[in-house]
Amino acid sequence: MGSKHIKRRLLTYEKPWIRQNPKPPKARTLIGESFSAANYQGVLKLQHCDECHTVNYPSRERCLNCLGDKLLWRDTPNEGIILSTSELHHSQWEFFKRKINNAPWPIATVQVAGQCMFVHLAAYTFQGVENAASLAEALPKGSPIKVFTQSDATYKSVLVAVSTDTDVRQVSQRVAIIEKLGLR
Amino acid sequence: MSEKQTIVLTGGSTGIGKSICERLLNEGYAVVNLSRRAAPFEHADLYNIEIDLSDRSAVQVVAKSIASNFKVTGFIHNAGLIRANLLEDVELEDLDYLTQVHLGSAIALTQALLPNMKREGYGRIVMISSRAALGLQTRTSYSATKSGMIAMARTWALELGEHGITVNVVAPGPIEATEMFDKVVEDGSDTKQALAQSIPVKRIGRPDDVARAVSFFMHSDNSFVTGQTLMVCGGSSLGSVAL
Repeated sequence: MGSKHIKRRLLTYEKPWIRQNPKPPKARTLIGESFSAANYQGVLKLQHCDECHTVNYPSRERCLNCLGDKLLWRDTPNEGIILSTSELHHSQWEFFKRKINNAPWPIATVQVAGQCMFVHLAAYTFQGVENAASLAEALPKGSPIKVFTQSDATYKSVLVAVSTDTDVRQVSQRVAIIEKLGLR
Repeated sequence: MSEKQTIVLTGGSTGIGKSICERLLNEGYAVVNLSRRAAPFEHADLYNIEIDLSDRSAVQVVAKSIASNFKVTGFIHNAGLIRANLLEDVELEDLDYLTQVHLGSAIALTQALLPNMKREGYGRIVMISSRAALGLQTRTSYSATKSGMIAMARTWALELGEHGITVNVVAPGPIEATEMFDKVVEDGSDTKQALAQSIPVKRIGRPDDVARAVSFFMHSDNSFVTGQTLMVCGGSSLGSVAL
């Protein structure tokens, strides 16, 4: 094993804390990678069944409703509601460890196009979050949100929830949010 | 898509590219289409990325993204355009533009896709050149860059043969129902008739004629053909310089 490989192994598995710029996790399943590719452009593309028109998420090979195998990546309405919010106070992943050192990492479970998604929460786009006692108080179940996808520092698409009055139609707007969150 | 081979195709939304794209999807490949516009049809294994291949930095970013999201084992560089001018009027900007689209983007994309192909010990690269590579009036920049593709393919074939990667070129002659052709020759015109009569097989080519040739080179069984240029021109290249 060459020194390059040893260094990479150290940085990745054994001593990730010596990494200068840790990155978000990039491992995906093969079908998960197709989500990243399909969402390379556009606000939100999900798999729509050609037979029964059910929207499928997470990405899969057969429709969750009719088991049809023709799932087409289509632009999908990105407005939805919050099901629950939470803050990450601990992580095993070096990237999130360092983020959490500064402040807890806000995450949410949301419902979009009838499907449940686990997303990063751009809490700063919501009014009143800073003054509220907790995220759950500021954004109770049923609060309206918008979700978009954008590639992070590892070129994988991640889902982010923002307030409904945040404009995310342009790539530059989405990238600005991703950068502000520190995902790039 | 997990078991499918993934192929990156440039310019797969119209004309010859569209035909190649449809054929590959029907043959069971997953296709990532890099084009200025998304393909006008949907398929479960088709991924459209809208990109201008003349934008060098955008190509680099997209190439990295594709390489990190797909295990690509095939690359077809089909995107191309003509900047027709007699020698006196040739703009060097056009030459730069066509060099980037025809050659530069092919190099950048192949560089990004190569690590996975080498890891797999298998790869298929096809570049769509043109019969104009043999010489054609008003095509200074076009023929220079398209013949550059042939030389590039022969070089890559030598470098990559040991890794199980074949590199070949398909060089179409006049093919109807393409943007390139429709710009130059009007449908149903006398010029078109005359052109058809000047071709040995007495007809103008169709996009699927080219798609079948590409399909041959892409097939995993065809591992003993590399560095070759296949003219799909109805015989119109015969009588000129043989390559």
